[in-house]
Formats: sequence, structure tokens, C-alpha cells
Amino acid sequence: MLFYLQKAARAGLGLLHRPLARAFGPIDNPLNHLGALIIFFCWIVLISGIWLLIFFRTSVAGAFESLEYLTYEQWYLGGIMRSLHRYASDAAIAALFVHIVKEFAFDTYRLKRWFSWVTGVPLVWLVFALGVTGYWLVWDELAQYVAITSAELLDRLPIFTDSMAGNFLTDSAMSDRFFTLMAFLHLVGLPIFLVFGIWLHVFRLSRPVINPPRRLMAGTLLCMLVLSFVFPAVSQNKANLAKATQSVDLDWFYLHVYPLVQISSPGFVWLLLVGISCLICFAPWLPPGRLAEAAVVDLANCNGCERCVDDCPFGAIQMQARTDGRKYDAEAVVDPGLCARCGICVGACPTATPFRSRGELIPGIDLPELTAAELRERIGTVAGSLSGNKRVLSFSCSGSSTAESLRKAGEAVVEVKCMGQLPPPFLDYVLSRDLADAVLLTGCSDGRCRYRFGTHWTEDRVTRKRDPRLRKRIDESRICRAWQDFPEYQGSVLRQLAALRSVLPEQSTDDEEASG
Amino acid sequence: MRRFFGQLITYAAFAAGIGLFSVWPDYRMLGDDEAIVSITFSHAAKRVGECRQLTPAEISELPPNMRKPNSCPRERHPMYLEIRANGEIIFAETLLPSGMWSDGKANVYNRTRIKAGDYRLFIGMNDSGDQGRFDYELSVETEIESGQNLVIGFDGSSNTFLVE
Ligand code: HEM
Ligand code: SF4
Ligand code: SF4
Repeated sequence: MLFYLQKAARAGLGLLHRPLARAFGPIDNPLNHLGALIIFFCWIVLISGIWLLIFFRTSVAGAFESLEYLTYEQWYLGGIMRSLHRYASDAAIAALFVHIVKEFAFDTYRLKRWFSWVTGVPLVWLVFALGVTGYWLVWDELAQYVAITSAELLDRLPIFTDSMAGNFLTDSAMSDRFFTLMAFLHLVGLPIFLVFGIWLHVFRLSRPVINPPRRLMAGTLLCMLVLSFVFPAVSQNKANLAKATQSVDLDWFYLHVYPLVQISSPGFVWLLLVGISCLICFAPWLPPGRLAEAAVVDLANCNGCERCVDDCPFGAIQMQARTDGRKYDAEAVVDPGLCARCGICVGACPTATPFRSRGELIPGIDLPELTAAELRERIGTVAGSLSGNKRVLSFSCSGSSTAESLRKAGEAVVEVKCMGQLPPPFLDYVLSRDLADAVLLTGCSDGRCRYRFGTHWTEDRVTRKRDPRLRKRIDESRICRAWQDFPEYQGSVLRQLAALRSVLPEQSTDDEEASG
Repeated sequence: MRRFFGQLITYAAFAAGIGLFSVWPDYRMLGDDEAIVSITFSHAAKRVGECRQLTPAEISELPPNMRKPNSCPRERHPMYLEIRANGEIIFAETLLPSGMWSDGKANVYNRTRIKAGDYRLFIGMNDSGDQGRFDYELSVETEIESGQNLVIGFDGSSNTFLVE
């Protein structure tokens, strides 16, 4: 069930991803920066909101007029700020929705990775509460509708004894008190919680990406500026409680559940919202599963270099004082509760080298699911099946569709948990021991990696920007890095493989030419 | 160049989507010829029983700091409310008193759709548990305009209904 839901979600995202990957390339693809985009939209909302606040009057009588002033008299600045404020908030909801779907589809929320997912749920409530209170403050007919419906919802909760909705039926009952409360929530209370909530949301991740690439920021900002000029946000008629609103232009991003209150009942809507929230909160354990063993440190081989700490995407490793009396300063310890079992730490460990002949190959840190020793063995077996003079050994992440397309095409593939698990000395080993003529590394392009930094670190290690670096003696043309923008598209990796083969020298013909 | 156009189209679609769904489609909750009759107020209904004089024996059984000459049940009757428009019932509800011991006010809040037009409105309330009659009532002739929010309240000091 879960599998099919995720598959459907991936297919849905694929429809978006492919054209976007074509237009933006892997680095700027908005789908690879959804969390950061939400934060960027929040910045726009904050800055434009400060401008609105300067002119806004927090009273039933003054609110509407102060916004009319901004919209019409000061349209060139206040009006634009108001439009930006609205449209960036809407864009945040759109990005939020895709963010959730994406994390779900690519299964990055389950078991040990529950924390960001579960702390995301209150963020959704906060963002919606901000939207609702924001529309309330305009005090136009939409605000009137929002106020009455929100009050009907709140009345359903056993908090207030008097009916709150009764306050929004006549102008004389409507007081500035409520209005001040809304203004406080919208301007101060909720934003503080939101900032704290976002901090908590990424708290456990190491190096959370909170800024989208510059070009993407510029593009989205420009896009919203143009929208604000062409189609400025305006108020509807001023609220008049003696009138029953007959229709409103609804902001469907924020207010889609409101009509449901009238169509069904406030009680049903609460049940639905709380039910969905609970379901999402428990989703990381639905169905419950067991992960293989977490990464383990082998003190006899750990020299305390800290590279695994630097590279672990989930902050699961810490350094502590040496417990075995050896001369090094510190040793690595893994927190199994945080470890996502990606093996990226193994790829970072300088002791994970297949050239070690003495004794068993046991690096300072290893993944029990697929140890470095087993990996070396696997390479030996798969490479043994290669023949001919253009032997290419491919490495791919286990279970990925890229691995599948390679295998279907009859190619020799070694699967690793994540490309980041592959220590660069293993590439040196394959080529210098002549196990293959060339190596193809493939996996999702940066930004789509299931374990966040697997592709990023591998790219940097192979291009010798990050330790452990690939040794200088290796001819780079024999290593093809075929990162997939769109791994579900099977043709691409095979084409890259063919391209790699076409540039490999024909060794036997070389010999013939030499003799002839 | 192809990328540039791809991005341009993406941004244009994004802006169009945001701009469009921030105001469209409009949500219609009332027809053009409809209005709302709202009723809202809180009212403390009569108590279930009369106060009863306690006998001296009963008084002496009470703890000294709680002795008083009579015992009054705290519980209140439910409040029954009915609105009729041209004789037809458009709203009828029995509302229970609030509070743990059913001794608080009963709250009513309701919005009913109605076609615009001339009406004879009748509002009746019973708060004494005595079935079959109204303790308070009001009849008014009124014209309800389309899009009007007619609000019915209750003034507890004069025990009369108010229509705004
Ligand atoms: C205001 C709303 C939100 C903001 C600003 C936000 C932002 C972010 C950011 C910046 C990241 C880090 C991306 C990275 O560096 O890899 C992230 C990751 C994540 N978010 Fe959100 N997010 C929000 C709401 C949500 C919601 C509602 C959910 C789900 C219910 C969610 C689920 C996740 C998950 C599962 C991850 C990945 C954690 C991992 O890789 O282990 N987020 N989010
Ligand atoms: S396996 Fe991955 S999550 Fe676990 S400690 Fe190593 S790098 Fe961190
Ligand atoms: S990378 Fe290896 S040697 Fe370095 S601290 Fe981590 S486990 Fe120890």
C-alpha cells in the first residue's frame, strides 16, 4: 500500500521534475530546493510585512482604510509590498505542499528520519494560522467570512463558554479587542513560533540547506514582482456585519477548508484536520519497520580524523575522548538513533582502503549491512564477469531505477547503499588492478540524493576537492560521473555509458597499429 | 536559449497559478435572492426546582460553616427556541445549560438561510420546562432584503427579544 502510494507520488512528481530539470538543470531545479524556497518566501513575507506594519492601523475602524491607502495612493510601494506579501505567502503554501509530497515520495521521513517530518506538522498549522489571521486583519468581506467561520470552528472546541461567533454578527458587538488579539497573533506571536519551529525542523540535520541558489531567488522574486505589478492584491468590499456575504473571492491556498465548514460542520472539519495531522505524525512508523544495524566504529582502526563527522548528513557521529588509551586525541561514536544507515561515513574514512592486505579489511567505521570487505568482494565478483576490451564497471545506489536499467541492459553493476559509501581508493583499486577499463558512477544528481549529500561528497572526492581525494595517478577520463537529473528516465544512463565506451581506446587495435 | 525559455515558461506558469488561485474561483455561500437570519445570545433558564426550607434537623447535619436555612437545586431547565417565518418553522432547537452542574447559561448561535421578502417573524422561547407554551415571544412584520443579516438577540434585563 505504502509502496504504491509512494510510487504514485513519484510518478506525479516526475511529471513536474522532467520539464523543470530541462529548464533549470540539476543545480537550480526548484524541486531540489523546496525547503529552502519556503524559507526564502518567508523572508519576502517578513520584509514586505514590515512595510505594511508601518502604515497599518490595528482597529476595526482603521484597518481597512489603511490598507486602501497603501493599495491605491501608495500603489508604487505599499501596494507592491502588499501584493508581494500575499503572493509570497501563497507561494510558500505551494512549495510546502510539494515539499511534503516529495519527502513522502522519496521515503526520506521514515524510522530514524522521523524528526524533521514530525516537527513539520506544527509548521503547517502555524503557516495556516498566519494566513487566516492575515486575511482577518484586512477587515473586508472576506475577513468577515473568515472571522465568522473561524469563530464557528473555535466555538466547537470546549474552550470558551460564550459563543465567540456571536461577536461577529453585529457591528456593535464587534470590538477592537479581538482585532488587537488577531494583530498580535499575526504580527508577533505566530511568527516567533514559526522561526523557532523551522529551527527545530532542521535541528537534527547537519548543514541544512536554508537558502536556494541565487539565480532561483532572483527568478522567483522577479516573478512575484511582475505578478504584483500586473495583478496587484486588493481588498474586497469593506466588512459590514449587517450584511450577509453572498460570495467571496477565496484564497484557495489558505482557505480551502473554510467552505467545508458550511458544507459539513465545524465538528467534522476538526475531526478531519486533527485526523490527518495524527496520521501524518505517525506515518514514519506506518508500517513499523526495522532498520539494519547502524554504522559501527572500530576503535583499533579509528585515528580520530573527524572526516566521518564532517560528512555524515544526519549529525549521527560525534567525537569523544579516547577510551582505549591510544595516542590519538579523540574517537568517533555513532548515535544509532540518528544514523540513517547510508554508509557515507565509510566513504569518508581514510582507513577504508581495499589495498590493505594484512588481515581483514576493517575500516575505522563500517556499515554492517554492506561492509567495506564485502564491497571489495562484490567488486571482485562482478568485475570477474567482465570481458572484452572496453570493460566498464558501474557503481549505483542499491534499489535505484538507474541500477535497474543498467542491469536490464546486461551491464556489470556494483550496488552500494549510497554512492557516498564508496571510498575513492576503491576506484583506484578497480583501475590500477585492471579489474575494469573504466568506471561509471551513477546516482541521483545533487539535490535529489536520498541521503542528502551522497552525490555531493562523491563528486567532490572524485574531483579532488574534498578528502579523501581520488589519487592523482588515476586517469580521470576513465571515470564517468553520470548523475541523473531524472533517474526514472532509463535511456539517459545507457547513453552516458555508450558515450564513455566510445572514448575508451581500443587496446587491441592500438597494439595492431603499433605492430603495423 | 532553450533553458531561458523553459525557465520563462515555468515562472510564468508559477505566477499565473499563484495569482489565479489566490482569488479564483469565487466561493458563493448565498444565492442572489437570499439572506441570513442569525440568532445569538446566552440566557440563564429557570432552575429545575424551587428552594426548599430545611428542617432544623437537616440544618444541624450540615457542617457548621455551610449551614443555611434553605436548599436550592442548582440545575437549570434546557432552553427551547423556535423561529417561524410566515408560520413555517425555520429554526427549532433545545439548548442545554452550560457548566458542570448544568447551572450555567445556555448559548445559542445559529445562522439560517432565507429567501428575501416580506415576513411575519415569530420568535418563541421556553425556559421553564413547561411543554407546550412559550415563556417569551415576539412577533414582527419585517422586510428581509437580499444579502441582509438579520440578527435576533435577547435582552436579559427586560426579558425581551431584540431584532436588528
Ligand atoms: C514552514 C514549513 C517548512 C519549512 C520552512 C521546511 C524547511 C525544510 C528545510 C530547509 C529542510 C532541509 C533540507 C535539506 O537541507 O536537506 C527540510 C527537510 C525536511 N522537511 Fe521540511 N520544511 C517545512 C515543512 C515541512 C513539513 C510540513 C514536512 C512534513 C510533514 C516536512 C518534512 C521534511 C523532511 C522529511 C525533511 C528531510 C529530512 C531528512 O532528509 O531526513 N517539512 N525542510
Ligand atoms: S551511516 Fe550515514 S547516518 Fe549513519 S553515521 Fe554513517 S554517515 Fe551518518
Ligand atoms: S573517518 Fe574513520 S578514522 Fe576518521 S574519525 Fe571517523 S572513523 Fe575514525
